[in-house]
Amino acid sequence: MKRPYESIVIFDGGLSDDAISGESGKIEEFLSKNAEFESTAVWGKRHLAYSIRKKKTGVYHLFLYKGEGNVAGKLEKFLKLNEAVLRHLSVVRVDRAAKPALAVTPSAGEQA
Amino acid sequence: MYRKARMKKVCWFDQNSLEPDYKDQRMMESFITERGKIVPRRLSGVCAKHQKQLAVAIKRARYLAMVPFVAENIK
Repeated sequence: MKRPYESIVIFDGGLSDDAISGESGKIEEFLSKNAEFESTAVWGKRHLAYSIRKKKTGVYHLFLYKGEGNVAGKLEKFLKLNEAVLRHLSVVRVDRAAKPALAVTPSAGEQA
Repeated sequence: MYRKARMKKVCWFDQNSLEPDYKDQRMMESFITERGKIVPRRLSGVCAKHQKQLAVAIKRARYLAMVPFVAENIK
């Protein structure tokens, strides 16, 4: 069963824009090969709340995709080997709008 | 002895029909103290369901360096 996932990747803020978009492209490519890639959102360069590997800024990218259970694990392996990635987090996406409405129109018996 | 009449606190998430989201930095910041601790629900008035979700969300946001584990000035 395919489930919706989202992954946030923090790239090293010291890298050039071209290098970061290149790395982001690699991840997109990986996702389109191994999963149903949907979209990427770039949050831009942000100040980190604490330094990671002595870096004080990071560029946040959010990847949305759908895949089987092992996709997140595969992506994890792929990202761990990447030097440009400071940190990453993959979670199952909760589409709140897609949730079925709990309220069901009451039957005639209940209305009475 | 008498008790002060207190206003009943209403859950902020229920009021605004929102759910805790680790990607919302402002929201996460508003539920941590100056030191970086998670605000207890007896102070914030958040309902049990949302406090549980909020705790997970804040921990995710901490991991992603969006909010601090410990405030920089007291490290």
